[in-house]
Amino acid sequence: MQEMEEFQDYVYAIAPSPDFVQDGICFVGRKSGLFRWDARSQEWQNAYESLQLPDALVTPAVALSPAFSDDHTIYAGTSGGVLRSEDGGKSWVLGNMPKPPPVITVLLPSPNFAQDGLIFAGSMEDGVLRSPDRGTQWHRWNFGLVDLHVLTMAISPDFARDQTLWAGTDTGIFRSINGGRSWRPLNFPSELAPVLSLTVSPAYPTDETLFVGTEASGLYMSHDDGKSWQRVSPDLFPETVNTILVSSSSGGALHIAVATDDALYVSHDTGNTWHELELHLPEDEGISTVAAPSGVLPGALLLVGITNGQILQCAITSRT
Amino acid sequence: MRRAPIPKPDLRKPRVVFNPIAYRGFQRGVNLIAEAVRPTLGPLPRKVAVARTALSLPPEMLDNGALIARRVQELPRRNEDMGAMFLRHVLWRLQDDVGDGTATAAVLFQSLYNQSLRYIVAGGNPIALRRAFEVAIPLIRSELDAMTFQVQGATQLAQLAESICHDHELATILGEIHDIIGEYGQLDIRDGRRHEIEREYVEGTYWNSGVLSPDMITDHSTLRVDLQDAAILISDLAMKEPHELIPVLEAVRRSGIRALMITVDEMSPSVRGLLLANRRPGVFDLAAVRTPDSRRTEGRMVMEDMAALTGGRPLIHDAGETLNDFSLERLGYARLIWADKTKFGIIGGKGDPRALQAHVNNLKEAFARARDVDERKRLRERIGRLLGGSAVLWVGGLGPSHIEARKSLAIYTSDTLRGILREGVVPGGGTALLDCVPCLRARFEEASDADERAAYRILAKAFEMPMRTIVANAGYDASEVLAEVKLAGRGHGFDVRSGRVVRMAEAGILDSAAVQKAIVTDVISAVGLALTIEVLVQRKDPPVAHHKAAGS
Repeated sequence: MQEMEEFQDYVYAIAPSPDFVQDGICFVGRKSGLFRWDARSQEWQNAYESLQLPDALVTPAVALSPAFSDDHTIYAGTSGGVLRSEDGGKSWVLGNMPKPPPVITVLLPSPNFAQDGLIFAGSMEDGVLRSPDRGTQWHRWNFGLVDLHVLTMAISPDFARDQTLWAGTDTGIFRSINGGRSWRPLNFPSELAPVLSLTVSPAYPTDETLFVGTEASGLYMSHDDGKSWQRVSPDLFPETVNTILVSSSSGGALHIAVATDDALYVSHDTGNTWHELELHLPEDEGISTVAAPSGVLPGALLLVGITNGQILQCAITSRT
Repeated sequence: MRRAPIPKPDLRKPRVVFNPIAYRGFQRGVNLIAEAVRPTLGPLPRKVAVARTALSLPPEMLDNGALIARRVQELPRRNEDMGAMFLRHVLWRLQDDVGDGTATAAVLFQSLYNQSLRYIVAGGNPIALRRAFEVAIPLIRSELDAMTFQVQGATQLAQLAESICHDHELATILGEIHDIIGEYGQLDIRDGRRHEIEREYVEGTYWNSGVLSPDMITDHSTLRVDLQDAAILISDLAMKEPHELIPVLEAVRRSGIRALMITVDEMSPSVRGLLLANRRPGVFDLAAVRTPDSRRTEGRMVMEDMAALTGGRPLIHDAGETLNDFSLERLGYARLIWADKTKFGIIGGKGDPRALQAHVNNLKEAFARARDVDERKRLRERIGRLLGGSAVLWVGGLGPSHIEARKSLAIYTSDTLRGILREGVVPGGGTALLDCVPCLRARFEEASDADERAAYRILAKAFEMPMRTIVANAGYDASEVLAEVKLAGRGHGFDVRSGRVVRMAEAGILDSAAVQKAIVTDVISAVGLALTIEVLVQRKDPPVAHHKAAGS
């Protein structure tokens, strides 16, 4: 076990266990490597311990298998490829990547991973890589992806049927409707890019709603599958939007959490009204990423990654 | 009783033939081609046997309208020959433009032409009729636009492909390929190595131009050279003196670049020697290829495309540039540049994505404007190369002639699928044209001019013919079926496989909107033109036209 203070660096990605509410475990991709973090004991454990690396391995992306409780499979996206562990991080295997080795920025398993074994990786210069065999072999699939700088990705909740996923890049958004084998640009104005965050409504097959967070132009929402876009609350979201999380409730309203560089906002009415969550950010530090282990409904817990490598826990309130 | 011998026409005698003889002869030729093609219309086509030039070979069994028309090279009666060649040319051009629809076009042409001639012989005005036809074209096209919708997914595309080529294996793979490469993607169709059809997807883009020296190949297992995170010097220069290249190599080396590909028009053995001598595998990799098409106008375009892909600025011989104009800013970059003996390719070009997208958009606009078939093909290939991947299809078969026939099928099916992806689909099986009839009838009711009324009446009747022919070719009673279809209403047609009236879009029986619109435009315009022919002038020695020979 190592103390948190030793790794004051940067949190890129947080992947909570599907049983987070019970086990409190999540895996955190940081500048200094990949760590297993126990929210209850606040303890950090180097997940790359078995690799005995001479230097820190920057880990911008991490994803757990949707069936993590059974298969204990973790994917870590590094500058050099995708590492796979099938024993909860005790041992790792490097996926077979095309040359030259890519810098992975985002990892995205299929919602039906247990059946289709599909996992996607976005990369810094190599576009999208696709593995059809649970991360053993990886192939670049960039037909139509004119911009290969992939910063974020999203996948349809109904992927098994519609085979749809999106990639946010330096210059806009691309969509694939054939399981990531070819891409077409979406009608998102390129002057608003880079796109840092991209999220799909859990009810996407019926409401066709997408959310996009940009580096310098705020938050956008589309209710027609990306044909047209509306800017959301420019006063709250004037510039950077790092993370967007969305849950749906039985009433049909969408619950949205949005992280800017220094604040966290929540809406429980599909973005009509917002309130800021109280966060005690350390001085001179900002939010880098956020995860919602049990959604963004009122009362749920958010894990907030900080630019110094820490994680803060924050409960979602209905009102401030 | 023996028939009276038919006197042979004297082909050597120059003739000027006036109407009505001109019309009658021309009409016989049109009907002959149309009747030869007619049996092939629909998903259950009849075959047309065409004798081969070498009589010892069995006849070709064809069901492709354009190919059948192309096999008719000359008719003995010259008036008929002119009519036949006129329609043959219309069908051939249609095939070149959109890849399909020749049988529908032939049937439609025949009906329009025969009806119109009857009207003209009875005193109608051919010029007024032609004018009314031309007015109807945009009307019909907008009706077709209203019925158009987009298709997507390998399954739907394969279904459409099968309705075009009637080859399940080929259609399935072409559906998958076009689902991936889209309407512009690069597809290389080659002779297969086995009986089956195989495909491969190639990452990035490549050109048919290989390394300048086999010694530049470093990986002897794959017989190619791979340059990772490489720079590329794009040029069409002739590099003859080693001392010209030395400063370039020094500047590149000093800048920390570890791999460089050079494209040139020509490189002397001494310059190649310099490259090989300075190569340090893994430390400073060097290779050179000939710039594709460097000695043709296309070479300049290839360099433009490579520049957009990699962010480089080419050194162009015609602009008076030499290696003295080199600076590091002129280099392009890519994640991987590879070359073998015959090809070289770029994967993950590091050009500005916005500039690349703008370049692709410009090419797409030029493509939309282009009318020349070859120019459209060139532009499509250029766009495809910039979109990050290509596909190779190996067409296998039972023997060389079977492979050749399947390759032709693959090419025209692929062309039609591209049109479908660009412009969408309409209900198939003749339904789209049949559904234009109410609008034509409405215009007929509104019109007061006799020639205009005749034009709409003729069009309305002709637009039933494709469905009638499909139904008849499948062995059903066309009048009975058409009555049922009309009763069922708009969007309905006859599924000849199940023998039922169905909603065609729901049944997945679809036609390319681009093809249907091209048929309407080309055929109506051509019929209008044919109707205004007043005189046929025949030469003294009818020459064997080059295009006829080419079509053999």
